Amino acid sequence: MQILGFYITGYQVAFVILAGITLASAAMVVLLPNILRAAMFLGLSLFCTAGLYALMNAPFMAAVQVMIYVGAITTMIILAIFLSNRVMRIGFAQAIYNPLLAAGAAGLMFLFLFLTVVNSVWVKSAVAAGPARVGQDVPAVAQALLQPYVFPFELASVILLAVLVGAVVIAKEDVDGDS
Amino acid sequence: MQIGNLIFILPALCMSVAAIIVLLLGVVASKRPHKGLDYFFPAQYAAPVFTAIVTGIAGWLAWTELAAIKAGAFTEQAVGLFVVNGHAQLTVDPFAAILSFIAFAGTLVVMFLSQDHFGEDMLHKAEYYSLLMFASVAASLAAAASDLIAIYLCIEFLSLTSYILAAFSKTDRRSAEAGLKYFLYGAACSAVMLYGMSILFGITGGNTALSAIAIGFKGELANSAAGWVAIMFVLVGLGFKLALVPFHFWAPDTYEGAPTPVTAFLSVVSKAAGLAVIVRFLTVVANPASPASSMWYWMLIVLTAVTMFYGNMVAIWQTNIKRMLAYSSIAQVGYLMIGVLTAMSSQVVPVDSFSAALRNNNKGAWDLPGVLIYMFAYLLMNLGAFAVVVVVGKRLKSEAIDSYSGLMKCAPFLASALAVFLISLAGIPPTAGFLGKLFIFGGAIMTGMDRHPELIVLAALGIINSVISAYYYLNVVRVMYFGFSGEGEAPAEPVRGTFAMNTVIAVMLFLTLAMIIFARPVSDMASSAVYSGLK
Amino acid sequence: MLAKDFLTIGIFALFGIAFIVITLIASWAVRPHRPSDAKLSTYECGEIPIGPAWTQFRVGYYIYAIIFLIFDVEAIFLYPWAAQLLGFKNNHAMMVMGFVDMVIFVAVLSVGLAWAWKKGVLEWK
Repeated sequence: MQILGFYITGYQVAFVILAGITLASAAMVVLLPNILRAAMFLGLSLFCTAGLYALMNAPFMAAVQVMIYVGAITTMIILAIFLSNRVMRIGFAQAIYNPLLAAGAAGLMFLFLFLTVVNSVWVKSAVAAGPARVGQDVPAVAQALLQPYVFPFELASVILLAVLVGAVVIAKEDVDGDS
Repeated sequence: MQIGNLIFILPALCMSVAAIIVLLLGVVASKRPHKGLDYFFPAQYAAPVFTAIVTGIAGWLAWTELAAIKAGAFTEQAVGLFVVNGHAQLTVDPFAAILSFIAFAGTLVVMFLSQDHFGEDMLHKAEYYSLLMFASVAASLAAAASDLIAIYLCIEFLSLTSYILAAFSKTDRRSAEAGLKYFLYGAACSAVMLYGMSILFGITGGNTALSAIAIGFKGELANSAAGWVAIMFVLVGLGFKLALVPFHFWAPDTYEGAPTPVTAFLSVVSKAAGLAVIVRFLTVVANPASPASSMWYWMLIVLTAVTMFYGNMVAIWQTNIKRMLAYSSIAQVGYLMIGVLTAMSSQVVPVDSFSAALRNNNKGAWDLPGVLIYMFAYLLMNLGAFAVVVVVGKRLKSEAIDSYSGLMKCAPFLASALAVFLISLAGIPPTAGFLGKLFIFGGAIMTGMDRHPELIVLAALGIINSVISAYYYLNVVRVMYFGFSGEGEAPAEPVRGTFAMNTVIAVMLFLTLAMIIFARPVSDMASSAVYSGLK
Repeated sequence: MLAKDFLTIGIFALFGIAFIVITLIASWAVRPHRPSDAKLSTYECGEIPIGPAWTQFRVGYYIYAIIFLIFDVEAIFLYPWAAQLLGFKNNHAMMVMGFVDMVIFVAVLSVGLAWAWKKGVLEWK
């Protein structure tokens, strides 16, 4: 397709749409006064990130993103909002004390990172380019987990156990004083 | 990889299994009081027993490695675990083995402190001790981690367990605040660190092992904007664990609000882990072939100086002893960082591994041995001080420095022990703290005379800071001996620790004082841990 | 190109969203608009609603959510392992190691489940 003299592929169109929604909903997360709506937009932003992963030929990552971040984390955040007793009050808003300062800091950070990206030498390598083979990302992940990264894999299970225990102990209601 | 190499992380493996056993002990028989397994072998006794065994294994491992060094049988490849393309993800060199021993020993002391602080009827005690054990596993693995993923996971594991431990006194609002503040700062810093790591991974062509990254991360790349950003972002995360100054905001509130044994854990074990990682990272990846041209070297020099001054200047004004020790531990990290920076500046050529970095170092240099010695001294004196704070705080129900007024009269042993620990923290001879500072400042001055004058300035600032810190440390001693504002009202009842606590305090008191007698073997051991035999 | 497969999903999603939006707009345009108290009240299958919908939840829900999340993450690890393990057919050592690795992983997490069970957090009090 040719628009205004530029060749545009469907890939690019999809990227612009997904990136646009991701950024717009991320901005809504920060700007919306109602914290519950902000959480909903966070879910949308994370969902579109999954779309970006899919575009980058990483469907497994996209599925993980949807399962963990959209499916579980966003639900957890919304649940956490409803756990707070402030949900019943009227002024249930997120506080932005100094929007100008925050915008300035964020803008500076963006400029800094943007200049970094533009001014750096980026080495292209076979590994960094990732598995270019279609539909190979699940075996690639499995191979990485079982062969080189078996230590992080096993450590992850211990971390998950500790986190499960800790989170339950902190969140548990201690009504009957059982130890 | 060879299964046999797993023996190098045997302490961590045993500790993980023990933590799971302790966790299950707590729920096995909770429905039947005075009958079940948890009555005969309750978590608060099982955990220290297991930890003592593991500490023994860790000590044995460190000792064997040192002996192997003396016999000349030591190579870095031999202690690498989970090796991928020749790059190990965990490198249990003697440096890591000793720091891992320090982590387990510190955890053992913290468990005795916890027994005294929480007592028998603690809610969720099996979970508490189990999490403490998991945290020590994380710290000991972090000491050996030499791969970005391993580093990130270990640091995150340590942080996650620490957040929960800091918030463990659920009925105490300040404890919840401590956990939440720690968590919010920690989450932000770890996100930044992960971003830095992803840039490092990207610009060096998809490597995660530090030694592999070091090969690619040289010259133009190291001086590129992305290289700077990556290193700085990783340093943000590590600086947070160490409470270096711009990332220290969590420390005072968390230290004050968290249960005292947890504060002790955070100030010693968690810092030992952060220190190990930052040493490895700075000497291997971020080592500047010409430090003068490297921005982060100068940035760290400035941060170290600011950290020392900030910690000490604010500590002077504190009226709560936990908060005072919190600020003072910020300053203590500044002293340790002097040693780390000296080690970093000794590099003249880019290296690809930790042992290569050490080979380039002056064989007799004092910097990294000094860091090990000071870390061990810090373990003794800081945990000792916290032990006394736990005992006194429990009996007097107060953490205010005022309430220590006249403690010498009603608790001579505790007061004199605390006095020695504080004198040691100030670095006054003849204590362990003095020995540590001697090595660190001496090492900095020696390297500084050679080619880096900025290190002499840093050492001078460190000495000035030790003098400042002596003011507020000795102020506590003055209050204990002569009373607050000279009045000297002793508390109504005598303050006595339990037998277990007195023993723990006495052992640490002995080691704090005895270390200077064994200065020679200690320093020989530390420098052979760091230097000799590396081929 | 893999992204083409997602084109199907994209078109499907687009039609799904468009269907809902068009239906809502159409019904808004067509329906009569005569509100009354009964019509404006929340529809609860005939029950009379008490209080607002935004109330404080019990913390028990959160504990379930945490446990769910942990095992959700475990499932993420299980999937590629299960998909790939038979791919190591020709490498028995690798297959055995992969199997043992996953057994350890699942065993550690089962400890978490057993603990939560015995701790009584799965019971609804």
